[in-house]
Amino acid sequence: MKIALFSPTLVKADAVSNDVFGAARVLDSVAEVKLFANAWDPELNHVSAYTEIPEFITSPQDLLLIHYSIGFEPVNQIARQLPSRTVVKYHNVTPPAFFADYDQDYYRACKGGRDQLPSLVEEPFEFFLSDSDFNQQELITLGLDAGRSAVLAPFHQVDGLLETSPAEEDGSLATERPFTATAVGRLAPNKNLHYLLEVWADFVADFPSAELRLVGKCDDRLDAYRRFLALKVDRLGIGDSVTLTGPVSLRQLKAEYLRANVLCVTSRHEGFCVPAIEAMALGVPVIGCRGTALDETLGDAGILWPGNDPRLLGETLKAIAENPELAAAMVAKGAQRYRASFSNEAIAVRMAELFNQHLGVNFERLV
Amino acid sequence: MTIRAEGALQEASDTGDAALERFSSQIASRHQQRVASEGPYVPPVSDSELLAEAKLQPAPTPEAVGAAPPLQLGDLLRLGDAEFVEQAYLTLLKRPPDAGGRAACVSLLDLGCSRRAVLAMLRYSPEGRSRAQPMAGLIPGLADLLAYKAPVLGGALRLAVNLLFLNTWIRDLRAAARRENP
Repeated sequence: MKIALFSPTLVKADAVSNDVFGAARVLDSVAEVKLFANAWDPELNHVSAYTEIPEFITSPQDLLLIHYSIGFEPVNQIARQLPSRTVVKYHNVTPPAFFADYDQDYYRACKGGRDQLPSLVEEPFEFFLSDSDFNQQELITLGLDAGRSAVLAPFHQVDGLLETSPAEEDGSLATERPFTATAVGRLAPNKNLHYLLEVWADFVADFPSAELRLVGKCDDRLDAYRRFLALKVDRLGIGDSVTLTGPVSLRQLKAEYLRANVLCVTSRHEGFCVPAIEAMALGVPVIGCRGTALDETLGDAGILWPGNDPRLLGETLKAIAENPELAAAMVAKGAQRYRASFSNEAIAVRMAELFNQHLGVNFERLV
Repeated sequence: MTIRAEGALQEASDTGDAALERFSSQIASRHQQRVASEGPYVPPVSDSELLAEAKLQPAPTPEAVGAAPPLQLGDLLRLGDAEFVEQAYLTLLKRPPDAGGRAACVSLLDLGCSRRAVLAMLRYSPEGRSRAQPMAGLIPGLADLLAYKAPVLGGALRLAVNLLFLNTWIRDLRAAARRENP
């Protein structure tokens, strides 16, 4: 049996790519697996062009697994002509409205990806996997038969984070350090970091030595959003306590989690929220706003509030800073939740069950 | 693994649920007290005004971030085939060509397709339209590209185009070009 895994882009340190690589490692135990993409990091020399999929997938027993994070019609065309079955893994597409004020490239790309969703669910594909029920419900609302659908959390880089040594700079991991809140992810409007700055302004008025670190890169095309954040930091008078780190390596990311007292996720749109499980695995309490896939990823292991009054999260930060037992309870709940539902091993077992049940792939060794 | 990470992976205590519930209630209560004393939340600054101001600030130029300005049509037409394909992708799609794309472009050039046509194909592809890199002088290239659908050019070339999944693409290009060049 052969299994082709396709993603439009495959690069290192990317959430969708990490899911593809993790799935490949698991599927490799039961099939001949090959990765395909339209564009990929040249260092990934085991990836092939998507145009070569028909040469690899030749039997009705084979499988094509398409990772959908942005539409890529040419591979759908190929899938329709293959003798094999096709499975879609839906990672969600950020609604374009978030980018309308900032960049038309992003707007058009996201609009294109979402516009293709109604036709995607009508494709004669065998099965649809989604990172979260939040994502799955989007497809079901568009007409997907729930019987052809299931939730499978994405594989991730947490094992690498746990194993790597942190990059310590300037005593950042010293025993005595200020209370630190962290947000992890690219600087993008849907991450709602401008709301987090208001939360921070509320909190830091009572904890002036505390630090907020926004960890992640900013695409050049979203530079207007970065400038907006910089202006807001200035006008709120919180410049002394806010740091934008820019892109970080795995070792630097490990150091950021280790110095963090809390992870803040104020996103208005999340299809899963990988930073939440990274934080749960690394012992960082998670707080944030309700209304996205974070609700189900975090479950009862953190504290979420509606995103309509920053004072709610401001008070939550104060409670964590003042009560070590609260942070300890959140860390314990997070660790338990991570191990039970979101470790790569737990995801592999769930994947094996789904592939056994719905696709007849024999995963006896894993199950 | 660090001490902190090991601690995180210790068994969760049964008291966790109760602690979270108790603190959540306290936080909600403190918030309610603030709403009662301070009133509904009023943002201290106007996001829409700040955003308008941010947009007025100049974006960093490519030169400022150390990048060379994008190549133009004349620059690209002077390059050898392999370098042309490489630079066409970098200029119009902001990425190196993938193996399939490189092979398709080289095949089209080998079959006599003009460089302007290859550039038009990349520029007006869905990915090229999302990048929207300006490049003057591509309209004749678009005409060349559309001409490859004409029967007079012979079956071999049309077959090659079909094999490269360009039929749908060309239909898409026509519509895109009509929209961008009414």
